[in-house]
Amino acid sequence: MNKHFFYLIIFLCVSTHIVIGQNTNFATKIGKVPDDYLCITGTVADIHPFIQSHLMWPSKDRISKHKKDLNDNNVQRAVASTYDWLKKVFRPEWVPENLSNIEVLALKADVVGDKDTDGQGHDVIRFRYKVNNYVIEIASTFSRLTLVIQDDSQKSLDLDEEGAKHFVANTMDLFLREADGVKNISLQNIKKGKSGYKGSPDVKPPTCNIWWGCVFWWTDGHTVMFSMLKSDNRPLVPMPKKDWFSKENKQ
Amino acid sequence: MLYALFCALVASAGAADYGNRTFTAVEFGNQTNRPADVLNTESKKMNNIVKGAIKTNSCYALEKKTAFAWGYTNGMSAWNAVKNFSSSSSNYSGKVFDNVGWTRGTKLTEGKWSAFLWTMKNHLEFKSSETDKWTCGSGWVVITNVIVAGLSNYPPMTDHSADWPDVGLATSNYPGDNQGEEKIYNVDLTAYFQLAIPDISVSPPEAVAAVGCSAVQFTAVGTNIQYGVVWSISPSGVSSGACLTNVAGYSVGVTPGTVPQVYKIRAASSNCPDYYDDGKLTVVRAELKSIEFTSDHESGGANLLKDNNSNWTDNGTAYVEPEWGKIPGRTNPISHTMNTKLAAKVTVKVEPSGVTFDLIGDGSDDYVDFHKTGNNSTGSDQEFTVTADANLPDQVCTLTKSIDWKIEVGTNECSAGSSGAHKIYVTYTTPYGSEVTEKRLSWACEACNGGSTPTGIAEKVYTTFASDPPIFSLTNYNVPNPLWRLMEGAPYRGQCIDLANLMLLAIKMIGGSGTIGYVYGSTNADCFSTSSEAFESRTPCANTNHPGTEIILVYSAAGGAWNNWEAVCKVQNTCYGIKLYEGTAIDILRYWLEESGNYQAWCYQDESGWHVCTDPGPYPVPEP
Repeated sequence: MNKHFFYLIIFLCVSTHIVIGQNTNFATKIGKVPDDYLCITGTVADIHPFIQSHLMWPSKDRISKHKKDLNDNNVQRAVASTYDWLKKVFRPEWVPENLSNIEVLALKADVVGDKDTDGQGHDVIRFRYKVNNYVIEIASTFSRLTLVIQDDSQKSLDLDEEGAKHFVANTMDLFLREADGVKNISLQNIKKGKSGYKGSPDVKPPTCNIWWGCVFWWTDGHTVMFSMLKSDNRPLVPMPKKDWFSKENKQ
Repeated sequence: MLYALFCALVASAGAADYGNRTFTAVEFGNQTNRPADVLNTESKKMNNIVKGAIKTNSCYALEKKTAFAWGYTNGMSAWNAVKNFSSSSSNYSGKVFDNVGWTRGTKLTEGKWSAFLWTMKNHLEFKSSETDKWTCGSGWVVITNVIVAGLSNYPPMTDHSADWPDVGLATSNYPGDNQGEEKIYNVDLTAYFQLAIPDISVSPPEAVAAVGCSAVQFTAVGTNIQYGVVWSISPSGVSSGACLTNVAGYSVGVTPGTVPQVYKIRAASSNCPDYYDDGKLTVVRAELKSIEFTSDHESGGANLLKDNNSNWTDNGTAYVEPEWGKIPGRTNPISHTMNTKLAAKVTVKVEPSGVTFDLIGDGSDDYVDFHKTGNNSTGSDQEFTVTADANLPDQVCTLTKSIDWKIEVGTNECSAGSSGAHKIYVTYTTPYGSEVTEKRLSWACEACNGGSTPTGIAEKVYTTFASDPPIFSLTNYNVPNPLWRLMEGAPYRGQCIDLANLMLLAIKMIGGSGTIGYVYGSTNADCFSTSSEAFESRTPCANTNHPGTEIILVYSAAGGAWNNWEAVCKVQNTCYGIKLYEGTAIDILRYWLEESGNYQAWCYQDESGWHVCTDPGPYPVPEP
């Protein structure tokens, strides 16, 4: 594909959605994603299994196996926390006004087959919705928030590194509140893997203590994933906590 | 020759006024030091010459005719001859001459001495005056004496006789050798009346009374007022104004009424109203209108203190000035720095105009006492700048004080009303750091009551925060905006950084200062920083599976989670870990780690998040 033609597509795509989006209000046209819809259908390599489990939408079997009652107080608190993080990270025009019409999944000790590093899984809140042409999938554990974004009206692009940079950067710019800060970091660190391009901030602990400094991203030319530690410059360390829904976490 | 002698003698003598009396000025018996202008004023009341005429009943002139001796061996012998000679007299009945007197002398001629003597006197019988009252203006005054100019003083309406001159004087001594003398006496029979002029003094000369007060007493004293005095007030007939009451001879009561006004209170002689004295009664109305404190905490001319005393939000409107007003009525609280003086602009209306007064604010303590002296009323609203007599207490506190305001005119007082109760939030310095609502400042002043030093204030806040609210929660935190809403308690809960920030806000609300600091897990006593990213770190870890830099984190068993640090509020050299411990940073770290289940460990981060380094450790990291 002609590189310049590709940039034009990206530009038009971003511009279109900037017009549709509302900068100061919640997203108004929330659509349901079909149950059998999958943003990623193939194998994703070169990503940490923990993050892979967030990138891939869970199968019906997994959901059935791990599904947790949403009326549980601890689950409700986890859902509320996830929604708060969503509002903190996303620009408001991509955030549903509430989750009342969105199917929310609470998966207890969810794992991704044998690839889970500790084999015990983590409590996770998952839900997805559609705003205009974009499918947005959310995965949230005690320590990590993962956002999967796909424009289902576009086909996968054959990106080179420069194209991947711009694709990710423009998606960041469109969706993330702290886009400028993220973009400046992420564009310096991009590499091609087996399944796409991935990157991470050129910032390492201990300075990585706010969410946009701890974001990891991946793209295959169609889908973009941002996965970040829930770091917010507070005393609590976003240490992986498998039993997020356990009562002993309540204070 | 004799004629020549007489001419020579006459030439050597002259006419004289009989009596040669000295008259004195009017005297006022009871007030000897009357000012000149008063005397002048009083004298002008004498609208004509105070004199009359004696009534002559009979009179005659008696002449001793000339005796003449000569041919004596010396002058004395010749003189004795004429002195002892019983010469004939001539009585001129019904006559009074104005050239009575005598002629006498001695002379040596041709070796012989001669002498001569001639006398003549008047005799008058008269009544001193026809009346003992002198008409004066619209009344009269008593004539105490009739002063006949050439004769003597006489009581009025009395009969007298007078002879003049005393011709015995003509023979009382030897005139001298070759000496001659002629004495001619004129007499002024004008009769002047000495009057008993009323002299009145009203006491007190000036008085001040507040509107609506009880009657003010005036008293008239003086001389020649035995016939009494008549009291009057000017202006009279003022609606609801002052009026005379309890008129009792020489004293009167004056009820001030309700109209501010200057009145003349006059006591006039009953027999001659032209003689009077005026007292002055100033009926004063003093009304406190407003008080605007100027030494309180303001920004851009507006009060810092906002009127939200119901919740912990930033809501509210700055309390308006003036803080105290009569109409519309309001008493707004103020915030003020301790150990400084209150200052205010006080608006009062003092009527009538032209009253010199002192404005006084009297509270229960010196620091709410005010004095502003030497003011002159305009009759309209006037603004005065006042400063308290003493500094406010040298400690944080909340005061509730009322102030009684009055004016003093001379020794008289007149209430202007009371203000308050003024609520004064006494702070360390000017509040800052967050919106200064009354809810917050009231709480802060109560929490820090008695604190007078930065650490004293910090200790009190720390002690107060030991109890909920604010509620602490490491993992289930729900931090409100603004942070002050942590004081609402549930559902709001804060982490250590929130409580530290809240403590700092509380300290700043009192005007104190401090910093936010962080106590880190550490291998040594170097465990404090004002940066939230000052972890103790190591790179690389001996375990090659641990990427990047490892840092020491602290596990809190109570919270079931890992901590980057313990946030503290630091004031001077003391760190305050809210609901945890106070002391130095290492004190706090040690206390923290000694809590059951707590420990510190090296941690690393990969794409899945943070992990504890147990290999090679050390795990946990030993307490410093």
